[in-house]
Formats: sequence, structure tokens, C-alpha cells
Amino acid sequence: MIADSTTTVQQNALLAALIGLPALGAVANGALAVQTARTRTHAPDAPAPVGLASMLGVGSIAAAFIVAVLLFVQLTSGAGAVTAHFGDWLVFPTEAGRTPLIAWDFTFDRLSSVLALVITGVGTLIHVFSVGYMNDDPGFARYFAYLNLFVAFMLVLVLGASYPVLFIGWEGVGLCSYLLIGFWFGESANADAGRKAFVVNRIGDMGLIAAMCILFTQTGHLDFAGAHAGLSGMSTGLITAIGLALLLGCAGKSAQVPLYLWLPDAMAGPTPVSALIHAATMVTAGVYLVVRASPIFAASPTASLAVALIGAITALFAASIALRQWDIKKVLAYSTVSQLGYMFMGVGVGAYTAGVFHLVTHAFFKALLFLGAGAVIHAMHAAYHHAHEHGDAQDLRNMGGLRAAMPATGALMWIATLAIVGIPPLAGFFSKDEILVSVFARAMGSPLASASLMGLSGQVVLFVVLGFGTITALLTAIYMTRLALLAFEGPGRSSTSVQQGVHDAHGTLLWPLVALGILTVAGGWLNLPALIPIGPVGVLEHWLEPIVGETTRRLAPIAALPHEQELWITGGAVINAIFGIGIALWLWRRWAPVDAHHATPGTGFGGLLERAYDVDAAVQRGLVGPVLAFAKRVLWGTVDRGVDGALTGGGGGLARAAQWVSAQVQVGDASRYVWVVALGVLGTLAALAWRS
Amino acid sequence: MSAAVLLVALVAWPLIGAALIAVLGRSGEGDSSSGIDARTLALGVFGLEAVLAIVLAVSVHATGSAWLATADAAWIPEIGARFSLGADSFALVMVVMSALVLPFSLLATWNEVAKRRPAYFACLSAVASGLMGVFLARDLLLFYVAWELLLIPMYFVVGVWGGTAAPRAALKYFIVTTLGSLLMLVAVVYVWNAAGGISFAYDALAAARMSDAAARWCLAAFLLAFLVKAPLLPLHSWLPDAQREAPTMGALALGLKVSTFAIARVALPLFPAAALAEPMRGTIVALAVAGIIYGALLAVVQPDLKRLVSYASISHVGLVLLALFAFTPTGAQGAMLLMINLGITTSALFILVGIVGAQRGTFAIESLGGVATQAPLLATAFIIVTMSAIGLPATNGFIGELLSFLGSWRVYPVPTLVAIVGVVLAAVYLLSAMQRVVFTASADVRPFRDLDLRQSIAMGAFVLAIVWLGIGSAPMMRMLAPAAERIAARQLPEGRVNFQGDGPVALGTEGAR
Repeated sequence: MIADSTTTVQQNALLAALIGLPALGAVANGALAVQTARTRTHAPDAPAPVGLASMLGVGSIAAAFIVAVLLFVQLTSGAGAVTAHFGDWLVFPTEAGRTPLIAWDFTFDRLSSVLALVITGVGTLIHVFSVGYMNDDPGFARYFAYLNLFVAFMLVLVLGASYPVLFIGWEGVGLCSYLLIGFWFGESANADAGRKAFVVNRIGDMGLIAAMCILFTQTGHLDFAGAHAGLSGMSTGLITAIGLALLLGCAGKSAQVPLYLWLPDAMAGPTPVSALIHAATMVTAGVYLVVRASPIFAASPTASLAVALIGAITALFAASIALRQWDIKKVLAYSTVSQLGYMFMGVGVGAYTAGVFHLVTHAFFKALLFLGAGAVIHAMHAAYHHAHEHGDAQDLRNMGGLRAAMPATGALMWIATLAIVGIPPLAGFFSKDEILVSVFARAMGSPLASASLMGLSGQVVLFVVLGFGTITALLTAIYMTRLALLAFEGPGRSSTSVQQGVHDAHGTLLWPLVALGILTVAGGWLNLPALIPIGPVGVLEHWLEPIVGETTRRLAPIAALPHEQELWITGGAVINAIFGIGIALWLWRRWAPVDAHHATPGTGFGGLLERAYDVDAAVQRGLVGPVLAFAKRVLWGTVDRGVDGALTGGGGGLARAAQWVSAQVQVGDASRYVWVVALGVLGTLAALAWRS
Repeated sequence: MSAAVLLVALVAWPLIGAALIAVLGRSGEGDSSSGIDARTLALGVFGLEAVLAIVLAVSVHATGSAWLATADAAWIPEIGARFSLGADSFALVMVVMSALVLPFSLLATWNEVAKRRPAYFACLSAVASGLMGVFLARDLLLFYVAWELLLIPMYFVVGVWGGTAAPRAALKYFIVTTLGSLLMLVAVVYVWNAAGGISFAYDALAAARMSDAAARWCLAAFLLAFLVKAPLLPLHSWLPDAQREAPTMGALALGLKVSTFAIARVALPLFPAAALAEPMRGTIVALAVAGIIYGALLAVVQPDLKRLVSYASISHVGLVLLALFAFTPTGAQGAMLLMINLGITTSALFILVGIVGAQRGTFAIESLGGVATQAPLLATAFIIVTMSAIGLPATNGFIGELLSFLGSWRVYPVPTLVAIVGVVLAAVYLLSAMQRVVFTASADVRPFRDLDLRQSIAMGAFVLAIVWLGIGSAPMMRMLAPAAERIAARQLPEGRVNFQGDGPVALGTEGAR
């Protein structure tokens, strides 16, 4: 971590503005939303304050982006990290007689600057898109209140200088995610999905709290600098425990196995929300945390291997499910889970820059994919509406041939598809390649390869990770090409009147896509490999060197592979991707010959994939159901009543005794008995007080 | 006004107020008798009480002693009992919190109780006096009287103004708590005798020479009285019944964390060595942790919204007890913050539940709904209060939770881990209930009224407290830190703290960074 140099008043103000602007936007839009809702209670058709709400909503995030750029420029001009202190938060004594503090400290360093730019930059684009997308929604102001609040919490998450402050953002974004997934709460499935997201995330948060408990007990600190400095005196076993506890938290937020279950359901929210929260920013918080906590993971190769292995399993598992999904957003959701697994593979093998690199490029192309899907859904929805037909506007089986009607969206979606598949020179190619190369390099010899995980040698684990990563890349090429083909190519499968009603996006629904398209094409130049010097090499790596350079080298002292080997991997990956596209093209005509109405559910293994391996049902049957039944029948039905019976039974004896006494003194009911006690006590006291 | 006068006034004024309400009050609309609306009178009584508490809080300053304010007068010289009051930082914060919760709760439940209002508010006023007495007493007999004053009027609040099953619930409450306090009375007399029979002052009794066995039995008697009221599993079953039947203000007064305060202030410091004795300590910790999960699981399956809140508070109290019995300064700080903030949050929850239930005539979760579309202010308040109860960071609910975990982990890592699981379950039951009540469309076609002006003011105050305490508690925590060290060392505010050589940290001292 960079020692904070002199942070000026102006920098303090900028940092405050960076978090404060979106927060103010949220408050203003919240007031607007409540006001609208109150008007509606007597005038049900009152319009939403679209103009004001979008001005506040987009304006606050755009302004925050400008602030982030200003801070970033100062950072590039050689100034040290900006650390702002806004007073104390938690003050408490300890055994040592110290009174430690957890302060309102925020740091804009090289790592958080990257994240802050993505959050506010991509955030601004998605806010602009939302203006068009949510235009006729009655809850327009409420939507922007939640979305602005999300950005504020996300910034707290990446700027907080201690675990507890990070945790504010961590759970705060969870709250916003909950509210936005259930935004259309009229349908109970949406609200259920929101609750599921919150609860599953909380399971992960237990890990984060436990990690804080161990860290604090061992080091006496919870700020990043202090806690990480205190690691030196700890046993590797304890550090591994902290790492694994953190991993649980990261797996919850970043939808890794086994806590991925909430993310596919989260697609119930409006599509721009899926783009911003469930693809570009919030779900990558787990990756960010592993990088931020890299001193912990670098000190425990076992925990690092666990991160990589979980990532690899998740990547492959989710990619296989994505092969057979029909809902366009579900494909993208499982794709996101899978790509997050890729990022975990990267940061798990200590290739922190590669993980962040893929986080950034993924934010570009996945946001583009989601917004493109949003434009498609929007157009399909309008077309169904015009044609007075009912159909699922998100089902790929109802699409087909859309590129003719939506040329701009189609072209942009194809670019994003090729980017995520890993075709050079698009952004995804470079970032994905770097992860695979790093895994291979570590497997060939590093402290990671010599460590072990659950009895397996590190080298075996790393080769498994590499293998899973490679197969995932192949599957990614297949399912993404499948998506693009089913949606945009071939003949249309919906009715002619619907097909004629589809029109391309324009205005606020289009130009954010164009901007993201440019980023998707150019994003790779952020961190070019030395192998392909078509510009300045390793920009991001140099940028993050002061943060993660040392921890990266601890897990992989020898940085680079021989060029020859690297060339083989890179070339192989490209061939792998092209092979996947080929398979998709070959199988394409056999997929979805009919629209969703006439389709039958898949059978056999395909059907199992369609049902996402039935994991949800199994969890419901094997865990949630039994626990609820136990609570209801055993605890409430038997134990609680039994305890109550024993208590009142014993008490009942007393009551009978009391009744006997009261019968003796001719006082009938218990109420009077109580009065007697009360008056007796008061009277005695009064008498005593009088005497004194 | 001197601090001593304020202390006496804080305890005495609600009793005088109760008499005023009973004599001068009338029931309000439809009551033709002369007099003042009992609600207005009660608001005056509670309002002045809150003003007294705030004046006390701003007028005290570091004195070098842990007692920020004291009052002492002769009372019953024959047995050495004195009318002796004192406020350290912990008591002060509890007093201010309780004194503020009451008037705002009254505002929010203005029309809830219709029958015999003067008697109702007189009872509540008497309860308030008992509360203040428990917080401020420095004399064990005075404490005992205040404790009874807290229990007895509450019986009527539940029994007379409660729902259909109220008489039975009230009787259960009364029998169980009275049984506990009778045992305590025996212990009080025993300790007084052991200390020479000349004084009931806490410090004199703490110095009493007793055998280990006697100390343990006495501590057990005290703890039983307090843990029944807290309540600790398996002594809890009276609480859901009583809170379910009680009117809102009764339910929330039952939820104020008086008993855990009494454990920290009276029971543990009187028997500091016995408090460490096993198996009592281990049993309490085990039951507390079991209670966290048990209360949460029962809350998950409750079909009744008010009972759900009640079981939630049983779950929450488990964490307070775990943090208290870890005997670490950090844990004690967490326990105090939990007591303060649970008092606020649970009260706000009961008020919201009461508002929703009163409009629909039922607390059955399945029959509720439709708040979000028809009552936006109520919905907003509901969401924020729920988040506080879940313990979302940056709300008041979180700070105590985190410090309790941090403090307990050192001593009881496995129970703490179980307690952390309770955190997950809190999200399950509270979000499910909120989803049903706030977000689900209601089959009931009657329009849902939003918060009126009084309710808006009250909920505004609660929301402000929730957010402000979640973010800006540092000054309060700095003030509480010395009290936390004393609680962890099981010492009275008089005692010197063992954890560091140079005595308690004075008020306002900057912590070492």
C-alpha cells in the first residue's frame, strides 16, 4: 500500500464528492419517488417525474465520474494515494487497554481508482440507457433512487480503507440489489428472487464477519494497512482460515459455487440493473476483495489454490448450463457466473493484475451484451404489444433474424460476442489469455505448485484449473455464438406481424451501446502482453505494481513464460475459440426450429442442463424444506409448547397457591391480588419514606 | 439545576405524572367529564421526562469519577437503605434512550388505546419511573423497589388493555417474573446480612464477605430474575404471549433491555468472582447462543407479525448475553450498544407492526400487504427499520452486532460462529415478513392510510436515530468505553479497572490511534 502523502483539503473534498454526489442523487430521487407515490394515492394516473428524475439520476453519476477522472489525473501525475479521514466511526476498548478506532477513512489509490472509474463510467452509460428503458415505468424516480444509492455504496466498497467500511458498501450494494431485483414487486417471483439474493449473499457475509473476527483477534486492527501488517506474526494455518472465510464472502457476492444460486434469479430485475449490478460492478466485488486482501492470500498458497479451484469449477459448471438456456438474460447470467469464475482463477493463482484486467474488460463487453439484450427485449416487447400478441420477449426461440430489423444492435452484439469468446484483438481476448497464461506459468513451477490443497498437490490443482479454463473457453464460444445466432441470424420464428414490429434502438437506448462497443474493441490495449506489442505493453500491470507487485511475486517469483510457450497457449486459445464458433455454426440449425409456444422441454442431459442441474430444487428439498419443517413441527409445535407448558405448569402450581391464599383473604381474582401486592409495596415505601 | 435534582426528578416525575394523569386526565373523545385529554397529559409527562434526560446528558461532564452525577439522601436508616442514585455513562445513555423512545412511541400510537386512557397512561408512567429507577439506583433495596415498579403496572397494561387472550398472557407474565424477583429478594436480604446488615449500597454489598458457594447461589438468584425477564431460553415463552397481547407501548416497553442492564450493573459486580464459575457461565452462554438460533427459527415460521418481532427479540437478546458473558471490553461495548439500539429498533418495529395491524384488524402475515403502493412513507419507514433490525452496516443495528462478534470471538469462537449464523436467519424472517406486508398486493380492497402527521414525526425521529447512530456514534462510544472496561471486569462504576494500570479513561479522552 502506498503511504499516503499530504492529502489536501481539495482532495478531501473531491473524495467526499465522489461518494456524496450519488448519495445525494439517491436522496433527491427518493424524495421524488415518495412524493409521486403520495400523489398517486388520490390521483392514480399521475405521471412519473421523468425529466427531473433522470436529470438528478444521470447527472449525479456523471458528475461523480468527472470527479473520479479528476482524482485519477492527479494520481497519474505522480501524486500518492489520496486518503481522506472523515471522523471516527467505531470506538471501543480492548484487553490491551488500547482504544482502537475504526475511522471513516477512504482511500483513492491505484486499485480503487480503476474500480471507481469503471463504476462511475460504465455506471453513467447504464444510467443513460435506463432513461430510455424505464421511460414509461410508473416507478421511474424510485428506480433512479435505488440505482444512485447502489453507485454510492459501490464506491464506499472500493474506497473504504478498512474491512468494516468495505463491509458497509458490501452489504449496502446487497440491499440495493435486493430492492432492484424486486423492483417490479407486483409479481411475487421477482420479490422472491430479491430475497433469495439477499439471503444467499448473507451466507457469504458470515464468512466476511468471521474473517474480521480472526483478523481483529490476532492483529488488533481492521484497517487494511494495520491488519495486513499484523499478518507477519501469524501461523499459516490461521492465515489460511482467514483466507477461506474471505473466500466464502467473495463466493457469495461474486456468485461462485455453491453460492451462485441467486444470480440467475436476479435477472428478474430490469435489464439495465442486470448490466450494472449483476455483470459489471457488484458481482466483481469478490474479485476486488481478493486483490485488496492479496497480502492474506499471498501468505497462504492453500487459500489461493482454493480460490482458483472454486473459480475453475464455477466457470465450467455455469458455462455448461448456459449451453441450454432459452431466456436471453439467463444465458448472460450463467455466462457472468462463468466469467467471474475466470476472474477467480486469475486472482487465485496470484495473477492479480490479470484478474482486475478481466474484471474491467468484462465490465465493458458484458454490460454491452446486457444492454444489447435489453434493447432486443424492449423492441420485442413493443412488437408484441403492437401486434396484440402474447409471447415471451426474452425467449431466444421467439427471436431469430433480428439483425435485419436491428442492424446497429446486432452488429454491436456480435462484437461483444466475439470479445467474450476471445477473438483478437478484442478486449476479452487479451484479458482471458493473460489468465490462462498465468495459470500455466504457475503450474510449471511456483510456490503455488509446491503447496497442496486437501491432499492434492498444487501442481495437479493448477493443471485441473487450466483444463477447466480451456474447456470453459470452448463452451463460452459455443453458447455465446448460439445466443447471437438464435437472436440475430436465420429466419424469424415469431409471427410476421411481430417481426415487422421490431425496430432498432435509437437515442438513449443506442449510444451507450456504441460507447461500450468502442471500449470493447479498445479495452485490450489497457494491458497488452509483451508477446503482442501493438502498443504500450503492460500499462495496467505497471499501474497496479505498487499495490499487488510484491504479493504477485510471492506466489510466482518468475514472472514470464518463455515466449515460445506463451505463443503456444495464446495460439491454442484462439484456435479453441474458433473451434467453438464452428461447433455452434454446425449445430445452429438443429437448435430451436420452433418458437417457445411449440417447444417441448428438453430431455436427458440436455434437459438437465436446461433445468440447471436441478440444483435449486435439490436445495429446496434437501435443506430449506427440512429446516422449515423442523422449525415448524419440532421447535414450534413441540418444543416451544412443551417449554411453555412446563413453565406455566410450574407457574400454575404457584398460581393455585396464590389463589388459595387469595381465597383465604376473600380476594377473588388475580387482578385484585396484583393490586394488593402493588399497593402494599407502594404503601410500605411511602410509610418508610415518611419516617425517614 | 444540579445534577442531583435532575436524577431525583427523573425517577420521581413519572410517578407524580402518573398521579396527575390518573386524577386530571379524561379519556378523550366521547368523554364528557371535565379534565384534560389523558394523551396530552401523558405526552407532557413523557416530554418533560425526555427534556430532563437531555438536560442531564448535556450538563454532566468529566468528574474524574465514573459517576457523572449522583444523588444521595437518607431513606430507611434502621436498615441502612438510602435513596441513592447515580448515572455513569452507560446508565446515562440508557436513560436518554428510554426517555426519548416513550414520547415518540406515544405520538405514533396516539389513537391505539381507547378505553380508560387515564389509567392506561398512569400505568405506563409508573413503568417509566421503574425504568429510571433500575437504571439509576445505587442502592439495592431501591433497585428492588424500582424493579417491582417496572413489573407490576405492566401486568395491567398487558391484562387490561391487551387483546382477547390478554388475561392469561398477563397472568403468565406476572407469575413468572414475580417468581424470579421473589428469589432475588431472598438473595438481596442474604447479601445485605452478609455485609453486616448496615447498608444496601452497591459498593458496600460488593465488599461483603461470602463463601464461594453462597456467592454463586446469590448470583444465580439474581440472574434468574433478570434472565427470566430478558428472556433467556427456555424461560422465554411468556414474552411472545405478553407482547402479542399487549398494546404497542406495552409491547415495546417489555422489549427495552432493562434486564441485561441489570445483569451488567447489579448481578455481575456484586459477585465478580462467582460470575466466572462454571457450569453457570458456560450454561448461560450455551443457552444464549441456542436462543439466537431458536428465536430466529421460530420467527421464520411465525404466522403472526407481532409474535415474529417478539421471537426476533429473543434471538437478539442471545447475542447481548453472549457478548456480556464473554467479559471482554470489546464485547461489553458491543453488548451496551446492542441494548441501546435494540431498544430503539424493536420499539420502531412494534410501532410499525401496530400501525399496520390496527388498520387491518389482524396481525396475520398472510392477510397483510399492499403498503408499498398505498402508503409510501410507511413503506419507507418499514424498509429502513427492517434493515436496522437485520443489522445492515451504517444502521444502528450493525455497530453493536459487529463489536459483540469481535469481542466474543476471543473467548468463545465457536459460539460466536453460531451467533453469526443467526445473522443470516435474521435476513430470512425479516425480509419475508417485510415482503409480505410491504410489497405483496393485498386481497383487502380497503385503502391503506399512510402515516399521519404524528406518526410521521415519530417515525422520522426513529429513522433519524437509526441512521445517525449507525454513522455518528463515535462520541457516544468514546464515552461508553470506560464503562465497557468496568463491565468486562465486572466492576461497579466506583471500582478501579484492572485492564490497565492508570484507572478508567476519563470522559472525552482521545483513544490511542
